[in-house]
Amino acid sequence: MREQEKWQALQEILLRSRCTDDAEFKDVVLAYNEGVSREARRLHEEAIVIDCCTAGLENANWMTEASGVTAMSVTVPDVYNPNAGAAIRNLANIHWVVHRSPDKMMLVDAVEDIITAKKQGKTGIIRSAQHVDFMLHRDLEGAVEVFQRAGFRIIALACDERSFAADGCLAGTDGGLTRQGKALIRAMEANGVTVDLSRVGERSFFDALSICSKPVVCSNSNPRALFPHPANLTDDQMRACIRVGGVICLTANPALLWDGKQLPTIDRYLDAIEHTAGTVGIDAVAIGTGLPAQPGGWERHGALSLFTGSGGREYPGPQGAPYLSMFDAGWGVEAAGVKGMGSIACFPYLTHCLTARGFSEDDIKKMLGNNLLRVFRETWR
Amino acid sequence: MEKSEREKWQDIQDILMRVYCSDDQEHKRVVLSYNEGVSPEARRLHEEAIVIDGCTGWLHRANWITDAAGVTAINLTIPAVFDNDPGNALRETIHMHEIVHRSPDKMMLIHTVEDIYTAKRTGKTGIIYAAQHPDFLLHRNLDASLEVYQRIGLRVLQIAYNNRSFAADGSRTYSDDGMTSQGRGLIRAMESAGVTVDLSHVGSKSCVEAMDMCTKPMVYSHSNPRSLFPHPRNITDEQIRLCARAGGVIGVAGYPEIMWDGQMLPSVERYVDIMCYIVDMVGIDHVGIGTDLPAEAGAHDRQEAWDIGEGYTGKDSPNPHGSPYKYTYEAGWGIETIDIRGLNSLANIPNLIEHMLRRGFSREDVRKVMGLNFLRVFQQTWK
Repeated sequence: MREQEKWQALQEILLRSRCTDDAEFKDVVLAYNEGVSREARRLHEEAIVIDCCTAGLENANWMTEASGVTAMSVTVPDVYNPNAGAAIRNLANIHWVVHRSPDKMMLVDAVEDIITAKKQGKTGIIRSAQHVDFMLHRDLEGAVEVFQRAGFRIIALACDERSFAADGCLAGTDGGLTRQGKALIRAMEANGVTVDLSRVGERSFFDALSICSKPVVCSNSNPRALFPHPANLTDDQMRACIRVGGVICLTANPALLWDGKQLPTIDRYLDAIEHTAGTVGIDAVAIGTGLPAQPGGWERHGALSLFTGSGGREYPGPQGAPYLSMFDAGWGVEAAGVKGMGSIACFPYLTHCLTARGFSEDDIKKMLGNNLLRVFRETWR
Repeated sequence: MEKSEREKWQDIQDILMRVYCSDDQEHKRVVLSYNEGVSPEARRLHEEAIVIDGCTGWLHRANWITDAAGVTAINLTIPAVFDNDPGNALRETIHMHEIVHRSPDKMMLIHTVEDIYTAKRTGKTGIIYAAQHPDFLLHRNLDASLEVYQRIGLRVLQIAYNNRSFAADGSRTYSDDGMTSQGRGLIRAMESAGVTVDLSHVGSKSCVEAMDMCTKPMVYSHSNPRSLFPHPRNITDEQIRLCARAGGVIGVAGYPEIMWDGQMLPSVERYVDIMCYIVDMVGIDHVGIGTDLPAEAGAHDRQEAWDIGEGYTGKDSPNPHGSPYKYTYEAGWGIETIDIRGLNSLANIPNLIEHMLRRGFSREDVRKVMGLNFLRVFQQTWK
């Protein structure tokens, strides 16, 4: 096959596994959970499990059921748009999710709600934004008050691209935090919104941490020491993050688990977890899969641009994108994701693999949710 | 030589721009002079009473008008809700927080009935987030949409302005159509989210249909009886009775164009006449005030000020008696040309209470009309 044909085949795999509720993909994903030990299953059921980065949730579905996730941070689309209208309509859509599945889903506005979700066996929905331009206003404090009231609890200062507040990690300029960005952080801390520094450019990242007085999250990043991609975090960044009590949420994004040699499997994901725990301690490790929460829920236009645009072929990084290698290895319907962690449905399998790596029960519970719970307790109000 | 019609309207527009779009010192002197005749008894009552204005607009910060008005809570209508772009409305929502940031000792946002009591206790003016058209929150799932806007503070929502909305017909569309099925969904969503239904400005047929399906009290935040003032913006006796039967409140509107019958020029006495008319028909529990007056001198949007004088309220008024401005102007009212004499400004609330007492309203009745009636509806409709 020519390379061009491989990318086309990959594109079809992506559309099948992300934009349709593909039966084969479902079988493959759920099969991983069959190997979960009884002990790991009990541990997973007991734990408060928080995924700090998901997208596309529409209702309770086989993925959310299988995942056993207590609360997930759902990223609200269209927050890049400086007209907040799009963001607020999309936020209302997330309320709609609860209207559709009232027995299985609930909104999370406070830490107490996460505890309630656990008790009632529901999935809690935390609303988050991965960009800030929708909030731009002369009075940023007023803006943050309004959007906090509306339900946003975690907001990233920028994601890949530049925002009015900070440079994104793929902006290529490594600019610093702006004056408005400083005001924004102060307003977020004052109003109970967690600052997310994943995917922020390095200089802006350090600038932001120098003025943060509360813990932050990095909702979806991996260690750059293992996987040299600008969206990943250097060990120095991680150390700066824990100085304010922050946590780093490791992400199951194949492009961010790729060193040009070993294919992105759940083993590599565990390597990322282990490296982070070794560098900054277990109390700073959490999970932010970056995975879709809805079978077939990925917006087609976005999926179509992924392997022809910034997400796939042209995704920057010294090793290029891992997808061709995954395709060549015969991963088939799994070739668009991390093998073994291609869906949030694989969460029990992740817990199983963590026990297999020798992490203690307490440490696993911390990483699965308790560490994030602590940050939310210290940053929400 | 007498001025031409055109020249007269130019003069009226000049006055309008001075009063709405600048902090005109002559106007301020006139406004405050009316309060000099307020008796100690009326003053005391004003200080004690919870005063809720069902409709004001244009506020940037605490100012001499809000200070003199001594209003406990105002329904502050947010501009920019007429297009279907929520972004503009959200900016205006953020602006409400800006008002409090500028005047933290004098202003506060109202989210619950308890907040109104707090405003009274701490001597602040409470800001209730109200909108006069619903198109900005149109969404396929109106329940979800209303939940979001209720969270960010929306408490009173008019289901259409003069023009037609996705929900209902406006009073100046001259089509008098009914509620749409989305409009019915909107009312259900408002009632369950805890947002008060406001039917001022809405076309009569849509109003009757809306009241028929409401399960909670509704308000006409700023409307007058059409049987006194034949303007399409005003409401029929049937509407007044249906609203009262549902436990609702009609806020008497202090807008000259809709309190003009071609005979008596707009005055505070006339305003009290309207109160009496509604009280006589449905009782004291269903009347409130909805002054429709600016809450800050000079804060009015300039383009809209031009639209008013040269457009729908002035020259193009649908009042069969024409616009009152022409007559007040010809009567030599000068800087008061676009005013209600004695209730020229929100600052004249003390003088309104004075005139209610003179008319024989009991202290208890004044309290009800000035705020307790609206408070009751808010208690029954908010969460």
